[in-house]
Amino acid sequence: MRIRWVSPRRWRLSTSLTITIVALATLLVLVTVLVERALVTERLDAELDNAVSVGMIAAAEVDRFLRNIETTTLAVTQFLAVEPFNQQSYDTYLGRVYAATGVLRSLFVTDLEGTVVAAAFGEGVGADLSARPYLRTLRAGAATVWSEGLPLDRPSQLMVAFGRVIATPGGSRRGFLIATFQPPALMGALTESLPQDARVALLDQRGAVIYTSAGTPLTPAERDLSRLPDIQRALRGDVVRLSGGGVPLADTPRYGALVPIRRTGWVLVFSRDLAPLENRLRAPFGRQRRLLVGAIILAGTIGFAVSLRLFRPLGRLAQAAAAIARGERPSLPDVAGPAELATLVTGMSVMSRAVKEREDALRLIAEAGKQLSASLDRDTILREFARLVVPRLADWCVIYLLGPDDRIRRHEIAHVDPGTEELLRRLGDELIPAGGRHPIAEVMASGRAVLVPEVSDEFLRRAAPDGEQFHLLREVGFTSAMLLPMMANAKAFGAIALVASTPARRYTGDDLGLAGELAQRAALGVEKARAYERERGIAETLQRSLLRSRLPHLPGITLASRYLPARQEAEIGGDWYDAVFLPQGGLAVIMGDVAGRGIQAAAVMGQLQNAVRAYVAEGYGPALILQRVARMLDLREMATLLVLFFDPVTHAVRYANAGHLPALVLTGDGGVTALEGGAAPLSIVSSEVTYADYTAQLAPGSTILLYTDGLVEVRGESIDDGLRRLRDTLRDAPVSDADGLLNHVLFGMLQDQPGTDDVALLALHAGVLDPAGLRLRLDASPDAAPVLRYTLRRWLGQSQVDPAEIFDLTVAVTEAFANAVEHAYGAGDAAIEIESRVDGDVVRIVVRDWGRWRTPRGQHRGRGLALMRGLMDEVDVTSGPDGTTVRMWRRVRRGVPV
Amino acid sequence: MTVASVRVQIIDGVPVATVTGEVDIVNAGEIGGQLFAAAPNTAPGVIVDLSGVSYLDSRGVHLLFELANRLQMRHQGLHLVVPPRALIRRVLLLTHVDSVIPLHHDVDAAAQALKAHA
Repeated sequence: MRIRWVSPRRWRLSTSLTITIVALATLLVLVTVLVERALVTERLDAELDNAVSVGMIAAAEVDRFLRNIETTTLAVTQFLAVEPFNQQSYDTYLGRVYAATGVLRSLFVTDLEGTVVAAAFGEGVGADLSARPYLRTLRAGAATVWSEGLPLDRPSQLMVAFGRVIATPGGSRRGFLIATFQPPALMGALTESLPQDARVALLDQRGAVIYTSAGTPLTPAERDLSRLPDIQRALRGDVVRLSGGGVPLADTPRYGALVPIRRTGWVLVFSRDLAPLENRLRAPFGRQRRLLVGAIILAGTIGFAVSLRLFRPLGRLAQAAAAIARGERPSLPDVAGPAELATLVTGMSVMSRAVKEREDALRLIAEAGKQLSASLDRDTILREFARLVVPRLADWCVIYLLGPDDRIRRHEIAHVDPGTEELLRRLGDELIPAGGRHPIAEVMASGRAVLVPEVSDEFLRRAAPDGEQFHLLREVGFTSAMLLPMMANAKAFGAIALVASTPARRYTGDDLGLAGELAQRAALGVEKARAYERERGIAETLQRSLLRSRLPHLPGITLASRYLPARQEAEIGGDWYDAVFLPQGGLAVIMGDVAGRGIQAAAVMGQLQNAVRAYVAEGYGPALILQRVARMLDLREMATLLVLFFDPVTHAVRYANAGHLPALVLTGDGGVTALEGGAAPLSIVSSEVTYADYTAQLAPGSTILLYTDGLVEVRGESIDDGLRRLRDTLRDAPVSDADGLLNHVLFGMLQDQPGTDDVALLALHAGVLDPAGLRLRLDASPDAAPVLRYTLRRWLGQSQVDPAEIFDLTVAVTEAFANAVEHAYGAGDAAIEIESRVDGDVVRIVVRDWGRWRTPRGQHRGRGLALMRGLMDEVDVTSGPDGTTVRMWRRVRRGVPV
Repeated sequence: MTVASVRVQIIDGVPVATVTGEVDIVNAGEIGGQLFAAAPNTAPGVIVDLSGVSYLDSRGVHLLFELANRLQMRHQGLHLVVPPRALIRRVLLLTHVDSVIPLHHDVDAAAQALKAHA
């Protein structure tokens, strides 16, 4: 199980929450600022409008003043037009007008050239003012003229002049009336009616300041504002609103308006201080801003606190969860927090425990699967099982098996404490009758697992047959238990008891599920082992019945064999050998290897052995036997087969080989030769293969070794290397001792260790019989008769006796032997001794038994004696209480000894 | 262990049982049974070919006498084939088998003799 890590691109909740709070706060600030600005602007606009209105009122006042001057002078000129044009006639009138207005600086009259003709109080009469611009305008023909600001003696003071033509009633121009005044005289009263912070300035038609309420003296350069765009607009006749820094002659931020005065082309500048207004406007927002900042700090603090109390623990829990997912076992952080968090911690610890338990269970099951299937031995499996569950799942464990007597036996026991385990073992060989009231018997009868969360005394009493055991069980501890049947083919063959002996361990349904799973695995393992044992047992029995434990015995001929199974766990292989007497005399040794293993291979081996024996009995030669066997058997598997006939008399060997490894011949001088020749192994197609007989002549004292590939096909070695190694091993082998030879070979090749494959070995040593005399001691059994014949033939052959006479002698001795077997003994083991010697051309034979001689009765028995007598030159029977001795001799023809 | 085998062929309606191997104390009883079984009721008798027998002693002789007796009771003849140079001929002669059971050198002669008797 894997939990995907939160990618770094994804924000943690705490981070995103913080960001959200910050963003919201920023937005709030932004909105507040925007709203504030909008509100301020709106109020400012209103104030500006207000200022414009005030400015316009002020301008109207100025205009009214100017109009007064215009109308007053008009009336004056009408008077002047008719009066004589001199100082005298005008003096009083001008003086009265001047006084009446109260604002004029001067009032005078010039002639058409510009020379002052008359003035109030006669001031400046005779002065030539023709160079003044306003007079030039009047002289050029204008009816009236408003002058610009005109400098006075002190540059800081200015005056304004108004000129009007004086025309006679006839309409001719007589001169000009000029009235001058200083702007402060005009503005003083006006200024007083304005708010304290208000300032008023007056600009003439050139854009030069002619009055300012600030009262600061200005240089001529400072007065000239005609360059300012706002001023230019106002000069063109527009009302201009001023905000911010647009107010001329202001060193602090002001607002106000420029209002044109059309009568004169002047501009009135009205402005107010901005700071108080701003303060007034922004004050409420300042409070709001403080409130806002406070709220943001509060939100941040809450966020931090939440992060501390919720997100940090959550983060730690998330890490713990990731660790759990990684398979670690972190201890869960001790989180003190809100109830939800505590619930989460509890939930996670439950989950962690559940994950751990589930994982432990899975691990246990996996381990069980591995351990319990590793062996094919029942006892090992059950011991492994007990070792597996104690102490992980139980404090102690008892495994019961149903015996063939229908009683349940305790088979395996394990306890956490070895001392207690020993104590429990001493409970004795408990036998539980199947079908009884014992809990184990009940579980096996029902086939269903039983959970006993809390063991009661009643339960214990059922489990313990007597008081002593009851107390022992109580003492060892029996608080909670699970009883599990082991099933095979829907029948319980055993049961497992898992017991908890401390109250700390109390079994639940989950434990039962796990234990049931384990028990099922154990049962499967045992069943598999049982099936394996059964099959192996059958295969082994089959094979053992095929491998002759008693090889045919011929004096002077030693046969020895070995069968070395592969390692324990492997199945029985298909190696087999056989040795039988030939009907024509001699021995057949056979070795074969059936591909495959187990019962199947053993069955094929059985068929092959029987077939070969039958064909041997029929008198077939080796090649014909292979041919027939190949044709007869429906071989699904391949099989190799080597059939070798050995004639003990002539030491001739005749053999045929179907794909088997060549037999080896060891001579007394240490030479090793292979009996080469052969054809393909027996198989489904081998009926088309032709097998041939090969012959070889053995030197007396040689040994033939037959073997299967398991001997030379050692793991990690090629078969050629194996064969070479076998030949090397054979070089210093004891040739004349078949048994010793096989030991030598097994040790040299395999170090007596079981190999990966089975190994079958058979050695036939063709010894030399003592030419001086033959002495045999045979079982008093009809079966020994052929051995006697073969040996006698061989010995006589060795002594160059004529074959026809060998036949006669053999019949005679066999008759004597048969008489001894039939008459001398009843049932039971006994021996008959035969001695034979050749003295020149006389063969002497003595047959001795230790039974009671009985006179031959009937035709048949008489015939035996008759034959002996007919075939031998002399027969002498001596009978006594200790037995019977038959002595015979015959003169024979002998060839030339080799 | 002694091995001998019996093969039976019907030649011109006459059963010919060929014995191969060694007949001795071990297998005489078995061979005797097989030879008796070789002669059906309808046959005039049976020819036992001993050419392939490499050993025969008093047990073999006994089985031949017994066989002859049992065939006699069914009015069936027993003829033996024993080549002139066979080693067992001396055993048969020593035990006077030839006085009760006719010996022939080959199967043809035995068959003719059997038919002639019938």
